Amino acid sequence: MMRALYTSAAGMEAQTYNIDTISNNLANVSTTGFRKNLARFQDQIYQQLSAPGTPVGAAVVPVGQDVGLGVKIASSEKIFTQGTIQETDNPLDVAIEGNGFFQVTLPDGTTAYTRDGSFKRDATGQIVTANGYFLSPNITIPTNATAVQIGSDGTVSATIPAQTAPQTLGQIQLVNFVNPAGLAPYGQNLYQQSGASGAPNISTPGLNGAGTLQGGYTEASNVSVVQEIVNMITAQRAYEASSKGVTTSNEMLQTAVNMKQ
Amino acid sequence: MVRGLYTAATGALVAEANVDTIANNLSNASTAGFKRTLMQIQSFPQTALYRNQTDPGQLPNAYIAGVAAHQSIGTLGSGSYIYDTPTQFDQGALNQTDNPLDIALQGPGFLTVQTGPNQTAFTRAGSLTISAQGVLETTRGEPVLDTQGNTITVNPQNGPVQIDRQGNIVQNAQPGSGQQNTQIAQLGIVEFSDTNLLRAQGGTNFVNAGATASAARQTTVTQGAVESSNANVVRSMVDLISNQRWFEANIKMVQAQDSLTESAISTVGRSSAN
Repeated sequence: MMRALYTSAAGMEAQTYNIDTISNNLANVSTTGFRKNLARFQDQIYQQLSAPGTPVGAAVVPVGQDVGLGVKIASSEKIFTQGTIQETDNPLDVAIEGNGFFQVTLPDGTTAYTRDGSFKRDATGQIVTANGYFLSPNITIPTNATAVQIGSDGTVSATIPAQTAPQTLGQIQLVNFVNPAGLAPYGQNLYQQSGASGAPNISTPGLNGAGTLQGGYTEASNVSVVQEIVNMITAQRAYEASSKGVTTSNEMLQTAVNMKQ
Repeated sequence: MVRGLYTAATGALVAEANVDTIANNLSNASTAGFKRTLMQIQSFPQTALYRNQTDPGQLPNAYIAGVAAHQSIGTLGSGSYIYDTPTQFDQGALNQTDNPLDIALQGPGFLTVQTGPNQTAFTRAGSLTISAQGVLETTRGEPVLDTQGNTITVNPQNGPVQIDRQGNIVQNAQPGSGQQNTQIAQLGIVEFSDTNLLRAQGGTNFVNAGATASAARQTTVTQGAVESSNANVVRSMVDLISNQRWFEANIKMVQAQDSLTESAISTVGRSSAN
């Protein structure tokens, strides 16, 4: 049957994937620390009807004849631009200004990484994420602490009654990757190391390219609603355009079949 | 004459059967765990054609040794037929339902279910329920088996059920009850060496017809989500258009053969009495 039918179908499927990605971005506009996805496409292989450079007598053919066979998804990458820092006045909320991830330990012992710094205290005073995963290396806040401060270099200190100077409890470490776009998203605002991300590079906030921390602030999602809506309009019109390719091929086949009366 | 008629008819019949498959896939576009089928078409064996010949200038009944009496001039096709209806096991989209007993599999594995005494089937439809006897089963009423091949019993009174990525079912004790989390069982998820050797039994159950089963290594379980059908609406519509035009072209062929036959009968075969 006509190649155009299947090529247009591939175009429609690619735009469906594009809309799926855009919808996910829009659904996560309010998610703390969310990084938006961008779908990228590539053209498929070309069917060569005649190769360029084929010798014809003493000369060669200057151009060839190729038919493209559609589009395919090249990648869906996470874009790691900085999100807006929002003040929350919750002393355990931390935002990263710059590069780096917090390290958390999952219940099965593996390590995950996150930009979501909305930490809480569990019943024993240990710092945990909203899902109850421990910050790694773990810091425990004494139960009798009246206030907690997190400095820009990650130092966590608490004010204990009957002590004039705040007690230093520990220092939050940040992790850098050579290729953060290669981290595998786990859901729950977490990422895991993959074969493409490189080895985790642990450092103190402010050193070795790691960002600094701001206590009492959280980092918002880096999704721009305006940009996503514009992308959605483009994707919808591209879908319609490909569907016209399908209907046109249909009509042309109908004409061909109706040549015999 | 008549041979060409049957050849064209086989094409039209195959196109019709193709449309039936597409209709089945489309009607199951919302069925959880459904895997679409394709039809694979092959051409009928070709008929060999021969020409009777002798050396030019000889009488037909004066054969000379060494001169071929039947000359092969090639083959004539005689239509097409469906030789296989393979199931496509590509991953369906995950649909989040937040129902703790809904599980979706990501990867090539299958859940094992018991369909009768000593009979097992495999499925991807992970909408599970607990029966009145406390047995974990699918919505078809078939008990789900664990890695040892036994049915799984869950008492919902003991706390919320958690299923982790490896399929371990853990029942969390109610906070303040003083009880520990109990591991109930691990879901028996199997992967197959060759999924082409699985036979479909209804759209969502599959029976092993010769493949080697092994414990799951690349499959993860997601609790609170269901795997939707892998029927691709865009692809199905394009195949529908393609098959409709193919069907029409073959029907035109049948009509053409018919009009040739009619010419042969009414024009060529006209007797002087008419």
